Amino acid sequence: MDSAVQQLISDFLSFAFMQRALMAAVLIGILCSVIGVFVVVKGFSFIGAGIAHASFAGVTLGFLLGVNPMLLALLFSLLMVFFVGWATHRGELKLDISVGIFFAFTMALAILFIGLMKQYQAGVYGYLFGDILSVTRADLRLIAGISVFVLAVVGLLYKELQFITFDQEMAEASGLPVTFLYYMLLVLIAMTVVVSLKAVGVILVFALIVTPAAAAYQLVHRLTPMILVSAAIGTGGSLVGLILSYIWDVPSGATIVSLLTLVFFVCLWWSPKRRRCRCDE
Amino acid sequence: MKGSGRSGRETERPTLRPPREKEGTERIVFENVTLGYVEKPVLRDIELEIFRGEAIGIIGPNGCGKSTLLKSLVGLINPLRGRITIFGQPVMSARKRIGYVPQRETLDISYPATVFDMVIMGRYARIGLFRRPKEADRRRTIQAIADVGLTEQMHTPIAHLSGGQRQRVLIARALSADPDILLLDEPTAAVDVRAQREIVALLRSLHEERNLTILLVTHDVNLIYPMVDRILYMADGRVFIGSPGEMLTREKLERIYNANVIVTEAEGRICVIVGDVHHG
Repeated sequence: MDSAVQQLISDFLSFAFMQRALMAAVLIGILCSVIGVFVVVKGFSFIGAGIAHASFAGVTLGFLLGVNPMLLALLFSLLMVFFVGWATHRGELKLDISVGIFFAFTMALAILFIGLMKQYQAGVYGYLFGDILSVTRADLRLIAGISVFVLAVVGLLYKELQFITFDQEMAEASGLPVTFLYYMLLVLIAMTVVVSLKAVGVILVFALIVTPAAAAYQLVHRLTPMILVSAAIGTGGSLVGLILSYIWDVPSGATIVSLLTLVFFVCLWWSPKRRRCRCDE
Repeated sequence: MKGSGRSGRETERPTLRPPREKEGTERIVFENVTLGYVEKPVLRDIELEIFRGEAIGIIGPNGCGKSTLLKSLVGLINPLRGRITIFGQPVMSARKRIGYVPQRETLDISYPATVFDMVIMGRYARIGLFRRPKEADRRRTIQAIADVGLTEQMHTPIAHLSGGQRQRVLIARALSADPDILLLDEPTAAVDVRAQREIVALLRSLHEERNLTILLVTHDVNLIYPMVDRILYMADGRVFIGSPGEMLTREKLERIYNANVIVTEAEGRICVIVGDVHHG
Protein backbone atom coordinates (compact mmCIF):
# COMPACT_ATOMS: atom_id res chain seq x y z
CA MET A 1 0.00 0.00 0.00
CA ASP A 2 2.81 2.36 1.01
CA SER A 3 4.65 1.63 -2.19
CA ALA A 4 1.51 2.36 -4.22
CA VAL A 5 1.14 5.72 -2.51
CA GLN A 6 4.84 6.43 -3.03
CA GLN A 7 4.48 5.52 -6.70
CA LEU A 8 1.48 7.88 -6.99
CA ILE A 9 3.33 10.76 -5.32
CA SER A 10 6.37 10.04 -7.46
CA ASP A 11 4.23 10.15 -10.64
CA PHE A 12 2.64 13.43 -9.66
CA LEU A 13 6.03 14.95 -8.86
CA SER A 14 7.79 13.56 -11.91
CA PHE A 15 5.36 14.33 -14.70
CA ALA A 16 4.72 17.96 -15.63
CA PHE A 17 1.32 17.09 -17.15
CA MET A 18 0.24 15.61 -13.80
CA GLN A 19 1.30 18.74 -11.93
CA ARG A 20 -0.59 20.92 -14.39
CA ALA A 21 -3.65 18.67 -14.05
CA LEU A 22 -3.49 18.97 -10.25
CA MET A 23 -3.23 22.76 -10.40
CA ALA A 24 -6.04 22.95 -12.94
CA ALA A 25 -8.21 20.72 -10.74
CA VAL A 26 -7.66 23.00 -7.73
CA LEU A 27 -8.32 26.22 -9.67
CA ILE A 28 -11.38 24.93 -11.51
CA GLY A 29 -12.67 23.28 -8.34
CA ILE A 30 -12.57 26.60 -6.48
CA LEU A 31 -13.85 28.71 -9.37
CA CYS A 32 -16.79 26.51 -10.35
CA SER A 33 -17.92 25.90 -6.79
CA VAL A 34 -17.81 29.60 -5.84
CA ILE A 35 -19.71 30.84 -8.89
CA GLY A 36 -21.97 27.79 -8.51
CA VAL A 37 -23.30 29.16 -5.22
CA PHE A 38 -24.78 32.19 -7.01
CA VAL A 39 -26.09 29.93 -9.78
CA VAL A 40 -27.87 27.69 -7.27
CA VAL A 41 -29.38 30.42 -5.07
CA LYS A 42 -30.51 32.44 -8.10
CA GLY A 43 -32.01 29.37 -9.79
CA PHE A 44 -29.78 29.74 -12.85
CA SER A 45 -28.96 26.03 -13.31
CA PHE A 46 -30.63 25.75 -16.69
CA ILE A 47 -29.03 28.91 -18.03
CA GLY A 48 -25.63 27.54 -17.04
CA ALA A 49 -26.29 24.30 -18.87
CA GLY A 50 -27.35 26.39 -21.87
CA ILE A 51 -24.12 28.40 -21.73
CA ALA A 52 -22.07 25.18 -21.69
CA HIS A 53 -23.80 23.94 -24.84
CA ALA A 54 -23.52 27.32 -26.56
CA SER A 55 -19.79 27.28 -25.89
CA PHE A 56 -19.54 23.91 -27.65
CA ALA A 57 -20.87 25.51 -30.84
CA GLY A 58 -17.99 28.00 -30.52
CA VAL A 59 -15.49 25.16 -30.00
CA THR A 60 -16.63 23.31 -33.11
CA LEU A 61 -16.58 26.50 -35.20
CA GLY A 62 -13.07 27.16 -33.92
CA PHE A 63 -11.93 23.73 -35.15
CA LEU A 64 -13.72 24.25 -38.47
CA LEU A 65 -12.11 27.65 -39.12
CA GLY A 66 -8.76 26.89 -37.49
CA VAL A 67 -9.31 29.61 -34.87
CA ASN A 68 -8.64 29.22 -31.12
CA PRO A 69 -11.69 27.20 -29.94
CA MET A 70 -11.65 28.79 -26.47
CA LEU A 71 -11.98 32.24 -28.01
CA LEU A 72 -15.04 31.30 -30.04
CA ALA A 73 -16.46 29.33 -27.09
CA LEU A 74 -16.30 32.54 -25.04
CA LEU A 75 -17.89 34.53 -27.86
CA PHE A 76 -20.79 32.09 -28.24
CA SER A 77 -21.30 31.96 -24.47
CA LEU A 78 -21.45 35.74 -24.25
CA LEU A 79 -23.86 35.89 -27.19
CA MET A 80 -26.11 33.45 -25.38
CA VAL A 81 -25.82 35.42 -22.14
CA PHE A 82 -26.81 38.68 -23.80
CA PHE A 83 -29.64 37.13 -25.80
CA VAL A 84 -31.11 35.41 -22.75
CA GLY A 85 -30.52 38.46 -20.52
CA TRP A 86 -32.09 40.81 -23.07
CA ALA A 87 -35.12 38.63 -23.75
CA THR A 88 -35.75 37.93 -20.07
CA HIS A 89 -35.06 41.43 -18.79
CA ARG A 90 -37.44 43.00 -21.30
CA GLY A 91 -40.07 40.48 -20.20
CA GLU A 92 -40.41 39.24 -23.77
CA LEU A 93 -39.73 35.62 -22.89
CA LYS A 94 -39.50 33.53 -19.76
CA LEU A 95 -35.96 32.50 -18.83
CA ASP A 96 -36.47 28.78 -19.45
CA ILE A 97 -37.98 29.41 -22.88
CA SER A 98 -35.20 31.72 -24.08
CA VAL A 99 -32.53 29.33 -22.74
CA GLY A 100 -34.32 26.34 -24.28
CA ILE A 101 -34.40 27.98 -27.72
CA PHE A 102 -30.73 28.98 -27.66
CA PHE A 103 -29.68 25.66 -26.09
CA ALA A 104 -31.16 23.66 -28.98
CA PHE A 105 -30.03 26.16 -31.62
CA THR A 106 -26.38 26.14 -30.51
CA MET A 107 -26.32 22.35 -30.31
CA ALA A 108 -27.71 22.25 -33.84
CA LEU A 109 -24.95 24.65 -34.93
CA ALA A 110 -22.31 22.43 -33.26
CA ILE A 111 -23.59 19.36 -35.11
CA LEU A 112 -23.64 21.33 -38.38
CA PHE A 113 -20.04 22.53 -37.85
CA ILE A 114 -18.90 18.96 -37.09
CA GLY A 115 -20.68 17.81 -40.24
CA LEU A 116 -18.85 20.43 -42.30
CA MET A 117 -15.42 19.30 -41.10
CA LYS A 118 -13.41 17.64 -43.87
CA GLN A 119 -11.66 15.25 -41.50
CA TYR A 120 -12.14 13.70 -38.07
CA GLN A 121 -11.12 16.13 -35.29
CA ALA A 122 -10.34 14.24 -32.08
CA GLY A 123 -9.84 17.55 -30.27
CA VAL A 124 -13.56 18.35 -30.55
CA TYR A 125 -14.41 15.28 -28.49
CA GLY A 126 -11.80 16.34 -25.94
CA TYR A 127 -13.91 19.45 -25.32
CA LEU A 128 -17.09 17.40 -25.23
CA PHE A 129 -15.93 15.01 -22.51
CA GLY A 130 -12.93 16.91 -21.11
CA ASP A 131 -9.38 15.75 -20.51
CA ILE A 132 -7.70 17.41 -17.58
CA LEU A 133 -4.44 15.53 -18.22
CA SER A 134 -4.06 17.31 -21.55
CA VAL A 135 -4.07 20.81 -20.00
CA THR A 136 -1.10 22.74 -21.39
CA ARG A 137 0.94 25.53 -19.77
CA ALA A 138 -0.98 28.08 -21.85
CA ASP A 139 -4.30 26.55 -20.76
CA LEU A 140 -3.18 26.70 -17.14
CA ARG A 141 -2.22 30.37 -17.45
CA LEU A 142 -5.65 31.11 -18.94
CA ILE A 143 -7.42 29.14 -16.19
CA ALA A 144 -5.40 30.98 -13.52
CA GLY A 145 -6.01 34.40 -15.08
CA ILE A 146 -9.76 33.90 -15.50
CA SER A 147 -10.04 32.39 -12.01
CA VAL A 148 -8.34 35.40 -10.41
CA PHE A 149 -10.53 37.81 -12.41
CA VAL A 150 -13.84 36.05 -11.65
CA LEU A 151 -13.06 35.56 -7.95
CA ALA A 152 -11.90 39.19 -7.63
CA VAL A 153 -15.14 40.48 -9.18
CA VAL A 154 -17.16 38.20 -6.89
CA GLY A 155 -15.23 39.57 -3.92
CA LEU A 156 -15.71 43.20 -4.96
CA LEU A 157 -19.41 42.85 -5.77
CA TYR A 158 -20.22 40.28 -3.11
CA LYS A 159 -22.93 42.21 -1.28
CA GLU A 160 -24.57 43.33 -4.52
CA LEU A 161 -24.56 39.79 -5.96
CA GLN A 162 -26.01 38.57 -2.69
CA PHE A 163 -28.83 41.12 -2.91
CA ILE A 164 -29.77 40.49 -6.56
CA THR A 165 -29.70 36.71 -6.12
CA PHE A 166 -31.94 37.06 -3.06
CA ASP A 167 -34.42 39.69 -4.21
CA GLN A 168 -33.74 41.36 -7.55
CA GLU A 169 -36.80 43.60 -7.45
CA MET A 170 -35.94 44.95 -4.01
CA ALA A 171 -32.33 45.49 -5.04
CA GLU A 172 -33.59 47.58 -7.94
CA ALA A 173 -36.08 49.46 -5.77
CA SER A 174 -33.29 50.34 -3.33
CA GLY A 175 -31.27 51.93 -6.12
CA LEU A 176 -28.64 49.29 -7.02
CA PRO A 177 -27.65 49.05 -10.73
CA VAL A 178 -29.47 45.76 -11.16
CA THR A 179 -29.18 45.47 -14.94
CA PHE A 180 -25.39 45.83 -14.79
CA LEU A 181 -25.15 43.33 -11.92
CA TYR A 182 -27.47 40.83 -13.66
CA TYR A 183 -25.37 40.82 -16.84
CA MET A 184 -22.15 40.78 -14.84
CA LEU A 185 -23.27 37.61 -13.06
CA LEU A 186 -24.14 35.98 -16.39
CA VAL A 187 -20.77 36.98 -17.85
CA LEU A 188 -18.95 35.51 -14.83
CA ILE A 189 -20.87 32.24 -15.29
CA ALA A 190 -19.98 32.21 -19.00
CA MET A 191 -16.27 32.79 -18.29
CA THR A 192 -16.28 30.04 -15.67
CA VAL A 193 -17.90 27.56 -18.04
CA VAL A 194 -15.53 28.32 -20.91
CA VAL A 195 -12.35 28.14 -18.86
CA SER A 196 -13.41 24.76 -17.44
CA LEU A 197 -14.27 23.20 -20.80
CA LYS A 198 -10.94 21.60 -21.60
CA ALA A 199 -10.62 20.04 -18.17
CA VAL A 200 -14.08 18.54 -17.65
CA GLY A 201 -15.89 19.01 -20.95
CA VAL A 202 -19.16 20.55 -22.07
CA ILE A 203 -21.33 17.79 -20.69
CA LEU A 204 -19.82 17.66 -17.22
CA VAL A 205 -18.83 21.26 -16.56
CA PHE A 206 -22.17 22.22 -15.22
CA ALA A 207 -22.18 19.40 -12.71
CA LEU A 208 -18.94 20.86 -11.36
CA ILE A 209 -20.68 24.22 -10.97
CA VAL A 210 -23.99 23.10 -9.50
CA THR A 211 -23.20 19.98 -7.45
CA PRO A 212 -20.74 21.36 -4.84
CA ALA A 213 -22.98 24.40 -4.25
CA ALA A 214 -26.09 22.21 -3.98
CA ALA A 215 -24.25 19.97 -1.49
CA ALA A 216 -23.11 22.98 0.56
CA TYR A 217 -26.67 24.36 0.56
CA GLN A 218 -27.77 21.25 2.47
CA LEU A 219 -25.37 21.98 5.31
CA VAL A 220 -25.46 25.72 6.05
CA HIS A 221 -27.90 28.60 6.45
CA ARG A 222 -25.81 31.58 5.30
CA LEU A 223 -24.25 32.57 2.01
CA THR A 224 -20.61 33.06 3.09
CA PRO A 225 -20.32 29.66 4.82
CA MET A 226 -22.08 28.16 1.79
CA ILE A 227 -19.35 29.55 -0.47
CA LEU A 228 -16.58 28.22 1.78
CA VAL A 229 -18.13 24.76 2.11
CA SER A 230 -18.85 24.64 -1.63
CA ALA A 231 -15.25 25.59 -2.43
CA ALA A 232 -13.97 22.90 -0.06
CA ILE A 233 -16.23 20.25 -1.61
CA GLY A 234 -15.43 21.35 -5.18
CA THR A 235 -11.68 21.47 -4.65
CA GLY A 236 -11.52 18.27 -2.60
CA GLY A 237 -13.78 16.43 -5.04
CA SER A 238 -11.72 17.56 -8.04
CA LEU A 239 -8.41 16.54 -6.47
CA VAL A 240 -9.58 13.18 -5.13
CA GLY A 241 -11.47 12.49 -8.38
CA LEU A 242 -8.34 13.21 -10.42
CA ILE A 243 -6.19 10.93 -8.29
CA LEU A 244 -8.77 8.12 -8.38
CA SER A 245 -9.11 8.43 -12.15
CA TYR A 246 -5.33 8.10 -12.46
CA ILE A 247 -5.21 5.06 -10.19
CA TRP A 248 -8.13 3.33 -11.87
CA ASP A 249 -7.22 4.57 -15.36
CA VAL A 250 -10.70 5.94 -16.07
CA PRO A 251 -11.82 9.35 -17.49
CA SER A 252 -11.03 12.10 -14.98
CA GLY A 253 -14.02 14.43 -15.62
CA ALA A 254 -16.52 11.63 -15.15
CA THR A 255 -14.76 10.43 -11.99
CA ILE A 256 -14.76 13.94 -10.48
CA VAL A 257 -18.44 14.51 -11.22
CA SER A 258 -19.44 11.05 -9.95
CA LEU A 259 -17.54 11.66 -6.73
CA LEU A 260 -19.15 15.08 -6.26
CA THR A 261 -22.58 13.60 -6.85
CA LEU A 262 -21.87 10.99 -4.18
CA VAL A 263 -20.85 13.80 -1.79
CA PHE A 264 -24.07 15.64 -2.66
CA PHE A 265 -26.20 12.64 -1.69
CA VAL A 266 -24.29 12.20 1.57
CA CYS A 267 -24.89 15.91 2.36
CA LEU A 268 -28.56 15.57 1.43
CA TRP A 269 -28.94 12.58 3.76
CA TRP A 270 -27.00 14.30 6.55
CA SER A 271 -28.57 17.73 6.08
CA PRO A 272 -29.69 19.48 9.26
CA LYS A 273 -32.35 21.15 7.08
CA ARG A 274 -33.90 17.79 6.26
CA ARG A 275 -33.75 16.71 9.89
CA ARG A 276 -35.53 19.93 10.84
CA CYS A 277 -38.18 19.28 8.19
CA ARG A 278 -38.80 15.84 9.64
CA CYS A 279 -39.06 17.31 13.17
CA ASP A 280 -41.50 19.97 11.92
CA GLU A 281 -43.71 17.25 10.48
CA MET B 1 -72.62 49.26 17.52
CA LYS B 2 -75.33 51.40 16.14
CA GLY B 3 -77.12 51.45 12.84
CA SER B 4 -76.20 49.68 9.69
CA GLY B 5 -75.24 50.65 6.19
CA ARG B 6 -74.13 54.12 7.30
CA SER B 7 -71.30 55.82 5.50
CA GLY B 8 -69.75 56.92 8.77
CA ARG B 9 -69.26 60.47 7.48
CA GLU B 10 -70.29 62.01 10.75
CA THR B 11 -68.02 59.80 12.82
CA GLU B 12 -65.27 61.70 14.64
CA ARG B 13 -61.85 60.09 14.54
CA PRO B 14 -59.84 60.28 17.73
CA THR B 15 -56.96 62.76 17.43
CA LEU B 16 -53.78 60.72 17.47
CA ARG B 17 -51.18 63.39 16.79
CA PRO B 18 -50.87 67.01 15.77
CA PRO B 19 -52.05 67.84 12.23
CA ARG B 20 -49.36 67.37 9.59
CA GLU B 21 -47.55 70.32 8.06
CA LYS B 22 -49.22 70.88 4.71
CA GLU B 23 -47.46 74.05 3.67
CA GLY B 24 -43.90 72.75 3.25
CA THR B 25 -42.32 71.85 -0.09
CA GLU B 26 -41.63 68.30 1.02
CA ARG B 27 -44.42 66.35 -0.56
CA ILE B 28 -44.98 63.50 -2.99
CA VAL B 29 -46.59 64.89 -6.12
CA PHE B 30 -48.27 63.04 -9.00
CA GLU B 31 -48.88 65.41 -11.91
CA ASN B 32 -51.25 64.02 -14.53
CA VAL B 33 -49.65 60.58 -14.18
CA THR B 34 -50.77 57.51 -16.11
CA LEU B 35 -49.40 54.15 -14.95
CA GLY B 36 -49.52 50.64 -16.35
CA TYR B 37 -48.64 49.13 -19.71
CA VAL B 38 -48.73 50.72 -23.14
CA GLU B 39 -51.58 48.51 -24.28
CA LYS B 40 -53.40 48.71 -20.98
CA PRO B 41 -53.03 51.70 -18.64
CA VAL B 42 -53.99 50.69 -15.10
CA LEU B 43 -54.32 54.13 -13.51
CA ARG B 44 -55.05 57.28 -15.52
CA ASP B 45 -54.53 61.00 -14.97
CA ILE B 46 -53.51 60.81 -11.34
CA GLU B 47 -53.32 64.20 -9.64
CA LEU B 48 -52.18 63.72 -6.10
CA GLU B 49 -50.27 65.43 -3.31
CA ILE B 50 -49.13 63.59 -0.21
CA PHE B 51 -47.53 65.65 2.53
CA ARG B 52 -44.53 64.78 4.60
CA GLY B 53 -45.53 62.92 7.73
CA GLU B 54 -48.89 61.77 6.44
CA ALA B 55 -50.10 58.20 6.74
CA ILE B 56 -52.16 57.13 3.74
CA GLY B 57 -54.15 53.92 3.50
CA ILE B 58 -54.58 52.65 -0.07
CA ILE B 59 -57.66 50.55 -0.79
CA GLY B 60 -59.36 49.26 -3.90
CA PRO B 61 -60.57 46.09 -5.63
CA ASN B 62 -58.04 43.43 -6.67
CA GLY B 63 -56.05 44.41 -9.74
CA CYS B 64 -56.99 48.09 -9.52
CA GLY B 65 -53.35 49.24 -9.42
CA LYS B 66 -52.51 49.58 -5.72
CA SER B 67 -49.15 47.81 -6.01
CA THR B 68 -48.49 49.56 -9.33
CA LEU B 69 -48.79 52.92 -7.59
CA LEU B 70 -46.27 51.90 -4.91
CA LYS B 71 -43.87 50.48 -7.50
CA SER B 72 -43.96 53.73 -9.44
CA LEU B 73 -42.58 55.49 -6.36
CA VAL B 74 -39.45 53.29 -6.27
CA GLY B 75 -38.81 53.32 -10.00
CA LEU B 76 -39.91 49.74 -10.68
CA ILE B 77 -42.58 51.08 -13.03
CA ASN B 78 -42.13 54.24 -15.06
CA PRO B 79 -45.13 56.47 -15.75
CA LEU B 80 -46.53 56.22 -19.27
CA ARG B 81 -47.33 59.92 -18.97
CA GLY B 82 -46.95 62.70 -16.42
CA ARG B 83 -44.40 63.32 -13.70
CA ILE B 84 -43.82 62.05 -10.18
CA THR B 85 -41.65 64.02 -7.75
CA ILE B 86 -40.73 63.03 -4.24
CA PHE B 87 -39.80 65.86 -1.91
CA GLY B 88 -38.88 67.94 -4.96
CA GLN B 89 -36.71 65.25 -6.60
CA PRO B 90 -37.36 62.80 -9.45
CA VAL B 91 -38.08 59.24 -8.35
CA MET B 92 -34.67 57.84 -9.30
CA SER B 93 -32.86 60.42 -7.17
CA ALA B 94 -35.24 60.15 -4.24
CA ARG B 95 -35.59 56.40 -3.92
CA LYS B 96 -32.79 56.07 -1.41
CA ARG B 97 -35.09 58.01 0.94
CA ILE B 98 -37.76 55.34 0.56
CA GLY B 99 -38.19 52.07 2.42
CA TYR B 100 -40.24 49.63 0.34
CA VAL B 101 -41.90 46.62 1.92
CA PRO B 102 -43.16 44.31 -0.85
CA GLN B 103 -45.79 41.61 -0.43
CA ARG B 104 -44.51 38.83 1.81
CA GLU B 105 -45.00 36.19 -0.90
CA THR B 106 -42.07 37.71 -2.78
CA LEU B 107 -39.70 36.69 0.01
CA ASP B 108 -37.62 33.64 -0.95
CA ILE B 109 -37.37 31.85 2.38
CA SER B 110 -35.20 29.10 0.93
CA TYR B 111 -32.34 31.61 0.50
CA PRO B 112 -29.41 30.99 2.86
CA ALA B 113 -29.69 34.12 5.00
CA THR B 114 -30.34 35.03 8.61
CA VAL B 115 -32.46 37.92 9.81
CA PHE B 116 -29.31 40.06 10.13
CA ASP B 117 -28.12 39.17 6.61
CA MET B 118 -31.45 40.17 5.16
CA VAL B 119 -31.92 43.40 7.09
CA ILE B 120 -28.43 44.72 6.31
CA MET B 121 -29.26 44.42 2.58
CA GLY B 122 -31.46 47.47 3.09
CA ARG B 123 -28.26 49.49 3.56
CA TYR B 124 -26.36 48.20 0.53
CA ALA B 125 -27.45 50.96 -1.85
CA ARG B 126 -26.36 53.57 0.71
CA ILE B 127 -23.00 51.90 1.23
CA GLY B 128 -22.24 51.98 -2.50
CA LEU B 129 -20.64 49.60 -5.00
CA PHE B 130 -17.39 47.81 -4.12
CA ARG B 131 -17.57 48.95 -0.46
CA ARG B 132 -18.03 46.73 2.56
CA PRO B 133 -20.51 47.46 5.37
CA LYS B 134 -18.90 49.38 8.22
CA GLU B 135 -19.53 49.18 11.95
CA ALA B 136 -22.10 52.00 11.68
CA ASP B 137 -24.05 49.95 9.12
CA ARG B 138 -24.04 46.96 11.45
CA ARG B 139 -25.21 49.11 14.37
CA ARG B 140 -28.03 50.56 12.28
CA THR B 141 -29.04 47.06 11.19
CA ILE B 142 -29.12 45.82 14.77
CA GLN B 143 -31.23 48.85 15.73
CA ALA B 144 -33.72 48.20 12.90
CA ILE B 145 -34.03 44.57 14.04
CA ALA B 146 -34.62 45.78 17.61
CA ASP B 147 -37.23 48.29 16.37
CA VAL B 148 -39.37 45.45 15.04
CA GLY B 149 -38.80 43.31 18.13
CA LEU B 150 -36.70 40.57 16.57
CA THR B 151 -33.44 40.95 18.52
CA GLU B 152 -33.65 37.37 19.79
CA GLN B 153 -34.07 36.09 16.23
CA MET B 154 -31.21 38.18 14.80
CA HIS B 155 -29.15 35.12 13.81
CA THR B 156 -32.09 32.87 12.97
CA PRO B 157 -32.35 31.69 9.34
CA ILE B 158 -35.30 33.37 7.64
CA ALA B 159 -36.71 29.94 6.77
CA HIS B 160 -37.31 29.31 10.48
CA LEU B 161 -39.44 32.43 11.08
CA SER B 162 -43.22 32.58 11.38
CA GLY B 163 -45.31 34.56 8.87
CA GLY B 164 -45.61 37.55 11.18
CA GLN B 165 -41.88 37.52 11.93
CA ARG B 166 -41.06 37.43 8.21
CA GLN B 167 -43.26 40.44 7.68
CA ARG B 168 -41.42 42.28 10.45
CA VAL B 169 -38.07 41.37 8.90
CA LEU B 170 -39.23 42.97 5.65
CA ILE B 171 -40.15 46.11 7.60
CA ALA B 172 -36.79 46.06 9.41
CA ARG B 173 -34.98 45.86 6.06
CA ALA B 174 -36.85 48.93 4.89
CA LEU B 175 -36.12 50.75 8.16
CA SER B 176 -32.40 49.95 8.07
CA ALA B 177 -32.03 52.40 5.16
CA ASP B 178 -33.22 55.26 7.42
CA PRO B 179 -36.09 56.15 5.09
CA ASP B 180 -38.25 59.26 5.20
CA ILE B 181 -41.03 57.41 3.41
CA LEU B 182 -42.27 53.89 4.04
CA LEU B 183 -44.26 52.06 1.37
CA LEU B 184 -45.97 48.87 2.49
CA ASP B 185 -47.79 46.44 0.19
CA GLU B 186 -50.33 44.47 2.20
CA PRO B 187 -48.18 44.07 5.31
CA THR B 188 -50.98 42.40 7.27
CA ALA B 189 -52.05 39.88 4.62
CA ALA B 190 -51.92 36.18 5.49
CA VAL B 191 -50.70 36.59 9.06
CA ASP B 192 -52.66 35.74 12.20
CA VAL B 193 -54.73 38.33 14.07
CA ARG B 194 -52.15 38.85 16.81
CA ALA B 195 -49.37 39.40 14.27
CA GLN B 196 -51.62 41.82 12.36
CA ARG B 197 -52.17 43.93 15.46
CA GLU B 198 -48.47 43.87 16.34
CA ILE B 199 -47.54 45.03 12.83
CA VAL B 200 -50.07 47.88 12.88
CA ALA B 201 -48.93 48.95 16.37
CA LEU B 202 -45.34 48.96 15.13
CA LEU B 203 -46.22 51.05 12.08
CA ARG B 204 -48.23 53.44 14.18
CA SER B 205 -45.36 54.02 16.60
CA LEU B 206 -42.88 54.46 13.71
CA HIS B 207 -45.20 56.98 12.11
CA GLU B 208 -45.74 58.98 15.25
CA GLU B 209 -42.25 58.87 16.71
CA ARG B 210 -40.23 59.40 13.52
CA ASN B 211 -42.70 61.42 11.47
CA LEU B 212 -42.37 58.84 8.68
CA THR B 213 -44.57 59.35 5.65
CA ILE B 214 -46.41 56.06 5.20
CA LEU B 215 -48.32 54.68 2.22
CA LEU B 216 -49.97 51.41 3.10
CA VAL B 217 -51.87 49.10 0.76
CA THR B 218 -54.41 46.98 2.59
CA HIS B 219 -57.70 45.15 2.35
CA ASP B 220 -58.36 45.43 6.08
CA VAL B 221 -59.63 48.94 6.68
CA ASN B 222 -60.62 48.23 10.28
CA LEU B 223 -57.04 47.43 11.13
CA ILE B 224 -55.42 50.50 9.64
CA TYR B 225 -58.18 53.00 10.29
CA PRO B 226 -56.74 54.24 13.60
CA MET B 227 -53.36 55.13 12.08
CA VAL B 228 -54.14 56.73 8.73
CA ASP B 229 -54.72 60.43 8.06
CA ARG B 230 -56.29 59.95 4.64
CA ILE B 231 -57.47 57.11 2.48
CA LEU B 232 -56.67 56.70 -1.19
CA TYR B 233 -59.38 54.77 -3.00
CA MET B 234 -58.82 53.34 -6.49
CA ALA B 235 -61.36 51.99 -8.93
CA ASP B 236 -61.83 51.90 -12.71
CA GLY B 237 -58.40 53.39 -13.32
CA ARG B 238 -59.10 56.45 -11.17
CA VAL B 239 -57.70 57.56 -7.84
CA PHE B 240 -59.69 59.37 -5.15
CA ILE B 241 -58.31 60.66 -1.86
CA GLY B 242 -60.06 61.93 1.20
CA SER B 243 -60.60 61.49 4.90
CA PRO B 244 -61.52 58.02 6.16
CA GLY B 245 -65.05 59.27 6.72
CA GLU B 246 -65.34 60.35 3.09
CA MET B 247 -63.77 57.26 1.59
CA LEU B 248 -65.10 54.45 3.76
CA THR B 249 -68.59 54.43 2.35
CA ARG B 250 -70.67 51.33 1.84
CA GLU B 251 -70.74 51.79 -1.93
CA LYS B 252 -66.95 51.93 -2.26
CA LEU B 253 -66.33 49.11 0.17
CA GLU B 254 -68.84 46.82 -1.49
CA ARG B 255 -66.90 47.22 -4.73
CA ILE B 256 -63.65 46.34 -2.98
CA TYR B 257 -64.91 43.25 -1.22
CA ASN B 258 -67.52 42.27 -3.81
CA ALA B 259 -69.82 41.61 -0.88
CA ASN B 260 -72.51 43.22 1.24
CA VAL B 261 -70.88 45.65 3.66
CA ILE B 262 -72.09 47.40 6.77
CA VAL B 263 -70.28 50.54 7.81
CA THR B 264 -71.01 51.35 11.41
CA GLU B 265 -69.42 52.87 14.45
CA ALA B 266 -68.01 51.17 17.51
CA GLU B 267 -66.13 52.76 20.40
CA GLY B 268 -65.92 56.06 18.55
CA ARG B 269 -64.45 54.71 15.33
CA ILE B 270 -65.64 53.49 11.98
CA CYS B 271 -66.12 49.75 11.80
CA VAL B 272 -66.60 47.81 8.58
CA ILE B 273 -68.42 44.49 8.63
CA VAL B 274 -68.20 42.36 5.49
CA GLY B 275 -71.23 40.16 4.88
CA ASP B 276 -72.33 37.78 2.13
CA VAL B 277 -70.30 37.70 -1.06
CA HIS B 278 -72.03 38.95 -4.21
CA HIS B 279 -72.61 36.34 -6.86
CA GLY B 280 -72.78 36.88 -10.58
